[in-house]
Amino acid sequence: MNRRQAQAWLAIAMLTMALPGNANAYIHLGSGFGGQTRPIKWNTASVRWYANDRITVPGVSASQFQSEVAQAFSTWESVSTATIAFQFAGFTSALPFDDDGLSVFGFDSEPEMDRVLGATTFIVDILTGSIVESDVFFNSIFTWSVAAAGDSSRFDLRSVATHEIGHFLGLGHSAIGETEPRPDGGRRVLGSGAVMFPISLGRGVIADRVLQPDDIAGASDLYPDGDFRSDTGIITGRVRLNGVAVNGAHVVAFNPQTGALIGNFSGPDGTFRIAGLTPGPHVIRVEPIDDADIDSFLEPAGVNVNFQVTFHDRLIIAPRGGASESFDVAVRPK
Amino acid sequence: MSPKLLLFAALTAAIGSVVTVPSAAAQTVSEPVGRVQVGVGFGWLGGAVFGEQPADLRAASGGPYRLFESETDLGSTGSFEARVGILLSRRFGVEGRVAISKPEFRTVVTSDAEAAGSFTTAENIDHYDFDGGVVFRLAEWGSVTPFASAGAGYVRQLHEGQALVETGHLFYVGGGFTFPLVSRPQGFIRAVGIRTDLRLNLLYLDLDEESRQQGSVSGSFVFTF
Repeated sequence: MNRRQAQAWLAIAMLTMALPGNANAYIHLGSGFGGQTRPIKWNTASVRWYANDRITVPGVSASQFQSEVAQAFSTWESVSTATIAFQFAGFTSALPFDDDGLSVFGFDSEPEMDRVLGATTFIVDILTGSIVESDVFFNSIFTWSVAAAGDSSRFDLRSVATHEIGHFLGLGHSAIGETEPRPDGGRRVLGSGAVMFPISLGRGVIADRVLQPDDIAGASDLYPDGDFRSDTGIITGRVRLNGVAVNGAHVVAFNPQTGALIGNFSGPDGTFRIAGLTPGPHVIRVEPIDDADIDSFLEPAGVNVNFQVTFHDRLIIAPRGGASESFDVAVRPK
Repeated sequence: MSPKLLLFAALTAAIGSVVTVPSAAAQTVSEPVGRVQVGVGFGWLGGAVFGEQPADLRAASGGPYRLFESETDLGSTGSFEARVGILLSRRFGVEGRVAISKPEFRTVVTSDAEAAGSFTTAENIDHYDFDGGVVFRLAEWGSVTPFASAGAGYVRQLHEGQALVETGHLFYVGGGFTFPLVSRPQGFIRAVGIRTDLRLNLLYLDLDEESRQQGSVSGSFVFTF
């Protein structure tokens, strides 16, 4: 199989910020080939993107759409510990999700995805994990706003674009957030600690224009600048329940000096790794995935949610430029 | 004992001594000017408050949604200290000190949105103070000699497993008294006495440069050479 043949659609339905329903730290998206999984990412110095100017929605012109997406890109570019650059290549009539070699952002009507505000798809070279093309669509069945202060009856385009660009970079969903069930089957967000949380804060909210520590750590770990690795620390450990490894536990490192929350998930062997931490002591909090559908974050098979929220009894040090010694967190059964 | 109480006691001792400075006092044999004094002893290093820090998420209302609350402090602990100094005059001396302790650095988590109760998470750190300053000897009360002291120093903390070193600096004011036990006019060791110290440290760690009060009390044997 040559490299060209190995390229494949990796259709990842990033159910972003859906209506309080389903619409995800920092986890990195990955591609698997030959038994290995590697994070997917751009391997070009400057990523070119296009804006579709053929489909517009009320209240958002093509130029306003391009401007809002460009500002969302700038938000990610301004992460001082990451090195990634984007370039607007022009308007196009090409639609998102066309396999045309262009990375296109645009509106599209997807009535059957009635809880999905937007989604991101990729063409990935599965041998290298390099993203070849990525398209982002915004569901035009919803009403959208480009108002500077937001519009209480519409979804903020820049906030959703910032979330989708996180996926565009190769980030998965973050589980740093709290929700409660709604009568209609969806979920209402009580609090969100990351732009990459899978469920929208709702109409009129513009909070997701600003990246949170979890988002910044994720992007920086994927596209580290020169000093990122030496200036930050990593915490590694393993989650166990009655001595057995816990798959899919959400582990959050809390910095009691800064208040930053940065998380990740344990793997099938119970191990986890959280990078991009400010050096110093951290509180470790472990919880089951219970604030969104498991498949918003991980392959559901084998994920264990039958344990209680647990705080590890030791403060764990993120050493500057290195990783902590691995430790075990023993969670209690529900 | 709170840092403020410690400071009050130290200053009271110092001021009380100052107002009773006699017009003339003979130099005692046990503490001759120009001789090196070495002290070793143990003490109690008071705690330091690092403060509260909530784990806040963003709510749709624009305000915070509190995931949990946390409060962090450095616990009080015993300490070992060694000091070397020299009296430059009857009233004035300089000294340097190293103090070693192993306090517990702890964060207490409360009000978690999904878990009832409070949770204490902690680590032990190796805490080193290297400081130096001046000593003002005050009027003797019989055999007891009160003193006031002030100075500055360097702080070094090694976190658990020596995974991280944090440094900082401190300023201190304090006071106490010395009491002679044995003195002789000649010999390698000219005198042995005891010394008590009450101090208030203002601690600045490089990680955030915030000042934190920390009191200490100690007692030591002092050897005059």
